[in-house]
Order: sequence, then structure tokens, then C-alpha cells
Amino acid sequence: MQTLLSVLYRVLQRLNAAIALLVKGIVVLLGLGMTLSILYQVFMRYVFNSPPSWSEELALLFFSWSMLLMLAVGVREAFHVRMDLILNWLPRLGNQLLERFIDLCTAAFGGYLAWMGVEYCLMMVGSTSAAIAYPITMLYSAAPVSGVLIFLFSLELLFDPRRLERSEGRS
Amino acid sequence: QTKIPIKLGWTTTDGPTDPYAVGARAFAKALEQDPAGKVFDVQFYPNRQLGDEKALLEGLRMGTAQAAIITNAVTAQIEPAFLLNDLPFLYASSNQAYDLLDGEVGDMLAEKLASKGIAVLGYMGGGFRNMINNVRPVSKPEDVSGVKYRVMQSPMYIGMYESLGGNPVPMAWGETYTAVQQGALDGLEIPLSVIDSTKSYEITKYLSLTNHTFSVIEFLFNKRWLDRLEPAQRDAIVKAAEVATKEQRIVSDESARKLVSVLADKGMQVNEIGNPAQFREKVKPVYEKFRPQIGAEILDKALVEVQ
Amino acid sequence: MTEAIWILTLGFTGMVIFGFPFVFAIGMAVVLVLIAVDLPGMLLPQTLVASSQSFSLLGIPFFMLAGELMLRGGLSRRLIAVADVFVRHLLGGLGHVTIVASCIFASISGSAPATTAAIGSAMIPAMAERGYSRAYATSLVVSTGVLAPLIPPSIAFIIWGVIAEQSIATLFLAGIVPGLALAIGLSSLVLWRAHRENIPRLEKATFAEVKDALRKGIWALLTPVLVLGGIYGGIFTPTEAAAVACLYSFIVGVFIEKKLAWGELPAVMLHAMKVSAVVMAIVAVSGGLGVIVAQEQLATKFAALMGSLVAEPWVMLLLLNLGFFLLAAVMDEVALMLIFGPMLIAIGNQFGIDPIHFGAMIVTNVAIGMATPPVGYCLFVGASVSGQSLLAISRAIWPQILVMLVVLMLVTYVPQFSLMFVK
Ligand code: NA
Ligand code: NA
Repeated sequence: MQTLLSVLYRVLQRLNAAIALLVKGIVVLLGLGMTLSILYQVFMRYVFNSPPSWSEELALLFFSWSMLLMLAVGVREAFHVRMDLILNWLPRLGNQLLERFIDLCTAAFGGYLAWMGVEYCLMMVGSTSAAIAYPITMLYSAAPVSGVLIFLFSLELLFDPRRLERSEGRS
Repeated sequence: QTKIPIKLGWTTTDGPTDPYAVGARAFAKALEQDPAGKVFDVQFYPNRQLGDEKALLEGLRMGTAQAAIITNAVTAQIEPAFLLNDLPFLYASSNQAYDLLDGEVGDMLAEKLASKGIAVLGYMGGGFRNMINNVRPVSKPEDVSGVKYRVMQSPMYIGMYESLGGNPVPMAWGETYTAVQQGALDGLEIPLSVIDSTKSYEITKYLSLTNHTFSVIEFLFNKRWLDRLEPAQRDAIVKAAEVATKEQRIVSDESARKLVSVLADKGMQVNEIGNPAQFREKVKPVYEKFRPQIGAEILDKALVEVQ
Repeated sequence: MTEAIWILTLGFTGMVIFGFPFVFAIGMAVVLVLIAVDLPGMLLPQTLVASSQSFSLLGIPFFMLAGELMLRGGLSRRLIAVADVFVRHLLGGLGHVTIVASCIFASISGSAPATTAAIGSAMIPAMAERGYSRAYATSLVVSTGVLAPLIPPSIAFIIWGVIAEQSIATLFLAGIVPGLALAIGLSSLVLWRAHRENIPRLEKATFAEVKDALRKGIWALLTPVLVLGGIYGGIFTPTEAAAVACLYSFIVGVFIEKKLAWGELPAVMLHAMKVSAVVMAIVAVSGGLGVIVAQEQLATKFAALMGSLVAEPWVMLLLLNLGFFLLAAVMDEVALMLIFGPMLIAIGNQFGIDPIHFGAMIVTNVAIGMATPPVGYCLFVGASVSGQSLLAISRAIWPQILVMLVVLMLVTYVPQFSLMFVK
């Protein structure tokens, strides 16, 4: 039983490491894309007096995606801000139990977000964005994807056998 | 017996002449006067209390609100056929818009939206959108060129200005006022009521009654909720919505007429455009661009009727 | 209705105290309320995405990226060198250098923790070398971090502008005088301390040194001119100005200073996205809160309640100041603005307070919270930059907090203070 769990954990850990790396790569590209898109807008407006109609909307699409992806990455890298006075004050066992409980709740939150996100996207099929007229599900699917990632990442924390203390979360 | 709540949302104020608020109040009043409508408790959520129009409309589909009064452009994001109403220089008068929407074209649009879970119970009026600026009055298409107008970031308005030969600047509303004040922008296109409510007459000189877009406002209901009501209750709502729509149109048209003189009194230099057909001719490329999204059948039918 | 209030108060507070990250404490409270009052769960993904769909908020990652490019491109050291040659010879010299350098950096960066990190990494060791205690040096840097959200550009003002639907460019103007007042207040404190502790003075910079610092610092000094000149010259919106600042600091860092290698750029971008996500995650989950507050009409009820309890606007403002100060000590400041935003706006309207003045007051309050123990972004950054414990910094920072409170009172009760450059 013990070994089975640790094998499963190792698989999850490797999978998540790969996913996190991929996600961060994507976020860098999204960041680049939104910067270029706004710079292009400024350039076209002042040099050619002809601003594009898609630049803002594209930048915002990338923005929402990148922020929701990083929200999930923040679970794995524990960079979301929190108050750790009680956690630090608790004895080790209490600290561990509380940490695992938080991980469990976070996993549940991620799962719920993924589930509701899929439902919402299904409802929005057929709607389009205002300027580019891209299918609006392209935007809203960021929510279920973020939910799945939050779920996977907090599951990894939950079952991490070596982790004794999560590093203090801060920016 | 507890009443059935109807959460009715809109995003503008609840002022006495606000075209959205007028519709909401007229509906509540008409429903109350109907014996079968007494079971309902209409609750108002003005002032973006349920979020911006997009969120409100999506909330309507999810069932967080039962009814909403929504600007056509936002409805068109759910059902692109509604882009028809925003075509520049399509309607020559508010009555032309009402006639078209009360007829077959309106039914066709409503049917399309019904498949997305939303029922249209009335096409109300929000007045025409007009151009205001600080450079020169607009009376022919050429007057638009060389003047920097703020537009919503929507291909319809950008396309309209570009085909008229102007310089549209898409900008968020929040930054627009300051930009015009500081001279970074020369003007904008805006409904009459909004010129007044935002005091835009303080920052712009010329009001040209271009009447380029008639602002259609849809009175929408969550269809599933409506379908689950008893037939008598549903009829009461449908009838009250009809009464409200009629009343709203009268009030809205009347206040648009009054607003022109109010704005002139506040110092705006008002003019009418010479020949709308001239403008409409220029923006033909916009019609063609949106033909696929609107659907050829609806567009052609509408164009024949507004001839 | 009552369930919603219990979950939002006790449930949320409990989660925060027991160490749930703020973003998940808010998110889970939202989910629990949605279930309790039978609202559709789809509101969670809908608001999560919709609340980030704001062109103004898009300025946040751009300002973060510009600040990060400045730091890694060596521009923040150039700024410190400029501050150094002008004020180091004054009584309490390095303290003034820290404050002046922070002021300049604050006019490029909108982020308090980023300013604390940029100035702290250079100034804390420099001050320690000159015999200042590390705890004091850190506490000073932490308090100058508060200048960043006050002096434009400012992420806190961007967020408030989005919540209150006010022009961000106008709100920025309202932070200038409060920011400068805080800088002057902190400088006075430095003077007084140096006088009391008899800290030896540094030698005055020679003309050649001044010239050299200015020549090397010119590119950095031009950044605020570009950003603020661009916004108020009507050339860019704040968001566009931030994107242009990214391009500018990229060009200076890579081609002029040659300190930024191409290979570093992905890491720079990722860091900017990460620190933006810390803020934006809270903005995103708080979107659901807005819907609940609206559905239950909590804002108007709360404002009516306050209106019935308090008659005088000045008492109301004092209560808000005090409540915000206490809450900001333990809460995430962005979350604070988002959670209480609708209530605050309702109160502001009820008492007829100018929305720009009101915004300046809220942001000043929130900015102070970032340096107020035990929970504050600037404190955390200061601790990690200097290696000092939070406790040591907290002990050293109280005099500065008092100065900040004086500035807060001025902002609150002298509207001209924030409205001087507005209109
Ligand atoms: Na700043
Ligand atoms: Na704090």
C-alpha cells in the first residue's frame, strides 16, 4: 500500500513538473503576445492613424489566460500570499494536518472550478467576442483548465511524503 | 401566499428619463395592474448591480436574474444576427426600427435567441447615437475625415468611421472623458441621453445629429423560467411587457426630442446632416462585411423593408 | 441571506487565520455562498474570467514587467547613484538617498513590493556597511515602498479605478501630493534620528561625480518623463504607457546598458507574470464576491446601516481610516479594496465625498497597510531581501508608520491635498 502510493505520487509529481514547465512557457509567450499587441496598437494609431480593432481584445484574451494559468502555478510554487502565524505556531503534527486539510480544500475548489467551468463553456457555445468574433469558449475555457491544474497541483502537495513544511507563501 | 420574485436588472441609473429605467418601471406597473400578474414581485437591480451588461446577460442565461434590459450590441455577442440593428444608417427613424422589429424580422431574431435560452419580450428604444466633437460640425461624410473620434472597440463602429474616411480611436470609456478634455481626442459617437448624463457637453462643442445608429434595447427573459410558469402567469408577463414596450418607446422618443433642445441650451452647437443616403452609400462595405454573421436572409429582408 | 453573511465573515476570517492563501479563502467563501443561497455554480468560472477582462487591469503586468526590466537592466542602480550624489552629504545621508531613490523608482514602478525589492537590494547592504542597524535600514526601505502606490503610476490606483469606475489617469494625479508628503515626512524622521544618534556625515559629491551620475542615469530618469508625459500629454492611456515603458526599458537594458541578456528575458517575463498573478488572482476570485454582494444588496444595506449610525462625514471617514488600518494590518490589501469596494462606494456616495478624493484616501490607507505588521507585501519583501526577521523589522518600523498616519489624516481631512493637481 505504502509503495503503491509512493509510486503514484512519483508519477503525479513528474507529470505536474512537466505540466508546470509547459504552462510557464505558455505564459511567457502570452505575456510577449499581449505586450506586442498593445505596442502594435499604439504604433498603428500614431504612425498610420489606423488603430487595429483586434489588439485590445487579443491582449485581454492572453491576459485572462496567463493570469488564470499562473493562479494555478501559484498553488504548486506556493507563492500566493497567506497568513502563516497559526501554522508556524502549531506543533509539527498539527501543522501537517492543517496543511493537508488546506491542500484537500484547494483540490476540491479546483475540481469544482473545473466542473462548473466545463458547464459554463458548454452553455456559451455559439457566442462570440465583440471585436474579433472569436468563439467565446476560447476565453472561458481558461477557467476549467485552471481548475484542473489547481486540482492536480494541490493533489501533489497533499500526497507529498517528503514535504514537512511548505515554504512561506509570498510574492 | 409568497410572491414569485422577478429580478430585473439593467446597468444604467434609475433616473426618471433613463430609457432602461422607464421600461423597467412601466413593466412593473403594467404587471401589477393585471390580476394575473399580482403573484409577481418585480425587484429592480439598476446601476450595474448585477454586473456589466455582458455579465448580466450571462446571468440571465444561468438564472441569477429572470429579466434584463440589455443594449442590442451586447445581445449580439450571444446571437450575432442582432448585429443587424447596429448597422450604421440602417434606420432613418425610430418608427422604422419599431415597425421592422415588431414584424417578421423581429420574430426571426427572437427565434434565434430563443435557442440560446433567452426570450425577447420587447424591442425598446434608446434613441439614436450621434457624433459630438470639437473640430467641425458633421453634415456630409467628408466632415468626418481628419477628426479623431473615440469608438467602442467594435468592428462595426471602426468600420463605419473608416468607410466614411475618418480616424476612429478605440478606447475604453473610462479614459475617454479625460482624453477629450485634454485634446488627445476630438470627439466621440454617443447616444443623446449619455451626452447629458455624463456632462459630455462640457467637453465638446458640436453636436451633429448624424442619427447613425438607432440604439435598440431588448427586454429579455430567462426562457426556461418563463416556460415553467403557469400559462396565465406567462400571459400576464408577455402582456405587461408589450404594454411596457409601447410606453417606453413613447417616453424615450419624446425625451430624445427634448434632449436636443436641452443640449442646445447647455451650449452645444446642434446641426442636422444634409442627406443620410449619402452616408449610407459610403458605409455599404460595412453591410457586406457583416452579411455572413447577420445571415443573408434576415439582412436582405430588413433592407427591403427599410427602403 | 444570513448564511451568506456568516460565510463571508466568520468562514472567510477562519480560513484566513488558519493559513488558507487569501485567494483561496475568498474563492472558497464564494463557492460556499453560491451553494448556500442557491445561485448557479457557473458564476464562479464566469466571474473568474470576466473580472480579468479589463483593459485597465492589463496595465498591471505591463508595469510589473517595466519595473523588472528596469531592475535587471541595471537602471535602478543608476537611479540610486543619482540620488546618492545629490543628498548623501545631508544629515542622515543614506536615509535620504533611500527615500529619493524610492521616489524616482516609484514614478516608474506601480508596485510597492517591487520598489522595496529594487531599492532594498542595494540600499540595505550600503546602509549596514555605514553602521546603520540592518533592522532599521530594512524598515526604512519597507516604508519607502509605500511611495510606489502613491506616486504615479500605481497598481493600487488602477484597481481602485476599476472598482469605482473612475479615470485612472485622474486618480494617478491624486496620489502625487500624498506621496511627496510621505517622502518629506520620512526624511524628517531620518534627520531627527541622525541628529539624535549623531551619525557621521558623508562627504559631498564633486561636480564630476554629479555629472557622471547624471550622464549614466539619464536613460532611467527619462522613463517617468515618457510614462507620465505620455499619459498626461494625451498620447497614451495608462495601460498603453505601461506597455511603452516595457519596450523602452527593454531597449535601454539590452542595447544601451547592455546588462540584460536575451536569454534572461523569458525569466524576466515569467517573474512579471508571477507577481501580477499574485494580485490578479485575488481580483479574479473577488469577482464572484461582487455578484453576491449585488444579489443580496449588501452594499446598500451596509451603507444605510452606517448612515443610520453615523451622521457626520468626518466621523465616518475616521471610522473608515481606522477600520482600514486595522484590517490592512492583517489582510491582503488588494483583497481589502475588492471586498469592501462596493460598500465603500455606497458610503462615499451617501456622504457626498468627491470620488477622486475618496480614492486617494482609500489608496493611501491601503498603501500604509503594505508596510504595517504583521501582514504586508513590503514587509515580506524587506525580510527576504535583508534576511531580517519580521519581528525585528516590525519593531523598527513604528515611527515611520506614525508618519504615514499623519499623512493619511492630511489626505482624509484636507481634500486639496489629493485634489491639487486634479482639474
Ligand atoms: Na508608482
Ligand atoms: Na499589512
